[in-house]
Amino acid sequence: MAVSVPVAKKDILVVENLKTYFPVRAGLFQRVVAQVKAVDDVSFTVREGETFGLVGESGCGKTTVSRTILRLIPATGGSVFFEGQDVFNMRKQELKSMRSQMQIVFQDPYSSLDPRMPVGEIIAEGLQIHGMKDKKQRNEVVQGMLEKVGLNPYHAHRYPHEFSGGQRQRIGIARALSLNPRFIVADEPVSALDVSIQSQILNLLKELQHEFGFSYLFVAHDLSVVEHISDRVGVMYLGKLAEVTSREDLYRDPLHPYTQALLSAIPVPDPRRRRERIVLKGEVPSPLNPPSGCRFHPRCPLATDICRQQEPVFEEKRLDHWVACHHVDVAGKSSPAARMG
Amino acid sequence: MAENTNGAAADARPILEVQGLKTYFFTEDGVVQAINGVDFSIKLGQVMGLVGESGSGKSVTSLSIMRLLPASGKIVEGRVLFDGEDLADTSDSQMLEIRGNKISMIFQQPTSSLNPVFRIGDQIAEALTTHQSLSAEQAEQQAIELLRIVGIADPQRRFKAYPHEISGGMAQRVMIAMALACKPELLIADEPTTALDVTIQAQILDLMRNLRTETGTSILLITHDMGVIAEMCDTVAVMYAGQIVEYTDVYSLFDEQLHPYAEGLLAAIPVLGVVQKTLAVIPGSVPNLIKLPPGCKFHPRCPYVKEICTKEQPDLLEAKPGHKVRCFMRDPRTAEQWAGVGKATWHFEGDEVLAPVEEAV
Amino acid sequence: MTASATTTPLVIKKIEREGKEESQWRIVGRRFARHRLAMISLVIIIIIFALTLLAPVISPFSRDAVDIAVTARPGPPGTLSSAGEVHLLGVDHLGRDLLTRVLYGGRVSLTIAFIVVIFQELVGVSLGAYSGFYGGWPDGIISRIVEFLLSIPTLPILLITSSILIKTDAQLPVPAFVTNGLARFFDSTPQDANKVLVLCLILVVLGWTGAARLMRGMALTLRGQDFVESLRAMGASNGRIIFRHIIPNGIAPILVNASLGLAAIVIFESALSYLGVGVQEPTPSWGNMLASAQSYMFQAPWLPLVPGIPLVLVTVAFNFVGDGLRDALDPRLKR
Repeated sequence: MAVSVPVAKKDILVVENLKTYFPVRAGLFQRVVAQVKAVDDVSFTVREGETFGLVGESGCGKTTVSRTILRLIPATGGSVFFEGQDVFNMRKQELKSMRSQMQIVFQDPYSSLDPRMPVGEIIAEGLQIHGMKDKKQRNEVVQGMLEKVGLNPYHAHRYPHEFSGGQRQRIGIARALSLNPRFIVADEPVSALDVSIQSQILNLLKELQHEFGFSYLFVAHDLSVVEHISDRVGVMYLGKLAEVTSREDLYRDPLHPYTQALLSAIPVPDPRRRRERIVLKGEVPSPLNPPSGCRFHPRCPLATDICRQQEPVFEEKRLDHWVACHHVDVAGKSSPAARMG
Repeated sequence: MAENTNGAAADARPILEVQGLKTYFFTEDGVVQAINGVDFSIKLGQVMGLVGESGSGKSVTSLSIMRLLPASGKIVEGRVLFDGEDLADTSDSQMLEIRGNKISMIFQQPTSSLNPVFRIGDQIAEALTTHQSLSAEQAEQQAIELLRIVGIADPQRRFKAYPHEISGGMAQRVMIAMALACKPELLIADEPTTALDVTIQAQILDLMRNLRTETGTSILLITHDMGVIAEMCDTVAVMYAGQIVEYTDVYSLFDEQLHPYAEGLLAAIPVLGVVQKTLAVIPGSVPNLIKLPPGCKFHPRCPYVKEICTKEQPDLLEAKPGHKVRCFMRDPRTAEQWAGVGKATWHFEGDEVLAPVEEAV
Repeated sequence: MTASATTTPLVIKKIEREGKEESQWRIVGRRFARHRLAMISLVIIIIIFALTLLAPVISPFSRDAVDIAVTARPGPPGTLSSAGEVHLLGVDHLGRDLLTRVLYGGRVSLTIAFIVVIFQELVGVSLGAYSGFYGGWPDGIISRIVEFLLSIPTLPILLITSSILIKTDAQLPVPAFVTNGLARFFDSTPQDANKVLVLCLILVVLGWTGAARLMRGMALTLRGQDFVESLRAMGASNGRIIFRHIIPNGIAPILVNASLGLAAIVIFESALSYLGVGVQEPTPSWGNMLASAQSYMFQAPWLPLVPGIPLVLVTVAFNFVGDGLRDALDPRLKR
């Protein structure tokens, strides 16, 4: 591939210091006794027409981030700007029109479709909500969408239970696309599928992005899948971002020790590449009671006293390469104009 | 082949031999042909991988070996020779003696495999006393020792923990400790790391590898993850629609897949560090096990399909030394039909059904 | 990957059998039709209901007419009337034709059952869906009311409230055409029809809890499903989510509950009428017919059987229909 001059792409989504806490209630009067800090001060941007991959292990808060951005879960703090508009301070009507611009594709192809509704109606529902009254017009859109995602137009009359997992995922994608969104959250869209079906859906997601030019926030736990589809990647650990950078930099030169361990833990389908891996000790601590200082320090092979005492700043350590670690030195920053946030 | 069987001597005797196994499920909707003639053997100290997608019959194979099939399932044909003894027709009481003692099994969902009302240490101790005569104290000592072996920190305290107090990764360690309680000759691990996070998966795989080297237990590892297979196994059998379609050592399989299904499957996986524009797609989906296609079970999805594939069933034959495959393209009697045929591109959309070209050009 | 040397198989796009599309309700219908006992029961209910509707055609006698010519009161089946017609099932202690009265009584009993069940399921489903979907304090209040209603013994409460309401001639604020229509249907006065409605009201108030609990449970599980989340992401209103998605998905167990409820209401109404606080004479119901038969049971053993047999048949049949529905709606069965 020829090295292209980076064209300054517009930011479509800016997430600033996002916090989502869940109260833990107990006792007779259901008093709040603690807060689960599921997302704690997360900032990143998604650029127009690009895919931002958000990876992490279960319980790291990646799904909560995606749901909070869509205002499906109330945020505790911070802000989200979608095409310059403040998502958390929208009035009802603004919010509704924004909803057609931001859509979501789910992980579970079974629970994400209403079992009592024919597929055509499932796809048309968004159009109906957003004021397309003419049934014929809606049907045309539905037929077009079904073809776009590789299904047959006559499938519109069938019910979800008549489709396989991969086909249901295509229906879910068609539903998200029907409103012609600019931004789509794909929440683990292939992790419930068999390997041979997974590749179909990944190809489809890429093709559709190429055709329509929307952006993805691609949430996943599988680093190989994220590498395949993303332009930029953020790695989350225990409610915080550990590292954000371009795909190339993340996979070629991971700076955060957690990213390094994560990458080395993935079994590679090549017996000749069996290698020494960094096996992390212990398990992910509870977000109810996160460790002091750097949240990764109890498992980190590099941990020193400063890690235990002081929380590292999430900063740009290399050009467009953001890391939260005391042990990574600052070696170069991009010009302030291109800085994120 | 010497390098492939690291740890085990190449001429070691087989601990488990499965011959012509057929397991069907008799349901209201019809007969589900879950396993349709499966042959393989595991040598002493070897790790054998069984890989396939959902519905390929890999889990049913393990349940058939353990004779843990649900009531509707039945072994209709074939033999399961364990140490020379046919498990397919031993009595139920003998089977109880073998299960847990000579063959142990670990499952995908470790937390649901533990009894929630008993302390984990007691559950391990129970596994110990079932097959050995031990005093309660001895059993407890051994259980703590096992917890230590599987890498659980502070085993004395953890002995008293209840299953809900431990994480999924730790529960899988406990399951492994229980499985090892009686020093089994064979460990069957059915998707042991599928429910776990990658960093925890790495820990469990490391543990299993170390145990193999230390105790010499043979392992039958069932998974859908080609990465896990490449990391762990000596030999591999690829299953599709209840049959083994390719069976060889791990290096040969990843160097050159002789069966189109294995070829497509490996090409469809995104590989870390290798960015492709599009991924390979195997068209269509896994066949209905009640109404299997005639001929080769894979032919409706195979880009190399020819007329013979739609009519006759290929046999599992040794195409190269030690490399068995079930495909007419590799069968010396029919291989010339594919002369001059290159590799398929696997560029499909997904829902195509493939059929042979009507007339040869 | 050299494409040139590739085999080029004939690619056929997947052609699936068309017209296979089948709504889940049609599948349920097909499965129900295979449940023999339930189908027989359904036919029995339809026949009995049709007979009660055809009462004026079947019987030449009017409902309350006393046949003075008949001296044996109660009279056995086959008693001849003054006009020479046959009282097929005999006459009661006042000399009224039993066949006519049992048919009209069926009208009353079954109508009450249908009205009560429709309203109690409507109330239960709406409150249950609301409370399960929104949660929080509305759920707390509704759930406490449900628990309160379930904890009090039903029959004594029914007895007390209905005796108060019926004896005090409470007037329900329903439009006149409803009472009048009902009165014409029962062949009775608007006052009597109003009393029937009072009875219905009591049964509804005490009976909606089952449906509410079922629907609340369904709503609780459904609201966490991804498809509801996707509706919210599309900007769907809560009303739309509840009425177009939650309720249709939760309706299966409600149907079973309703058909079992029909049987229960028939029994309840009969019990109340038997005890004298339900449907009041001269409007017949199977319950008050049983009550008046009681005093003559030994001279005229056919008297209690006349309302008793259809009563048993209908309740058993409703139960079987409920069983059939439950099996047909069971998601674990495929076809």
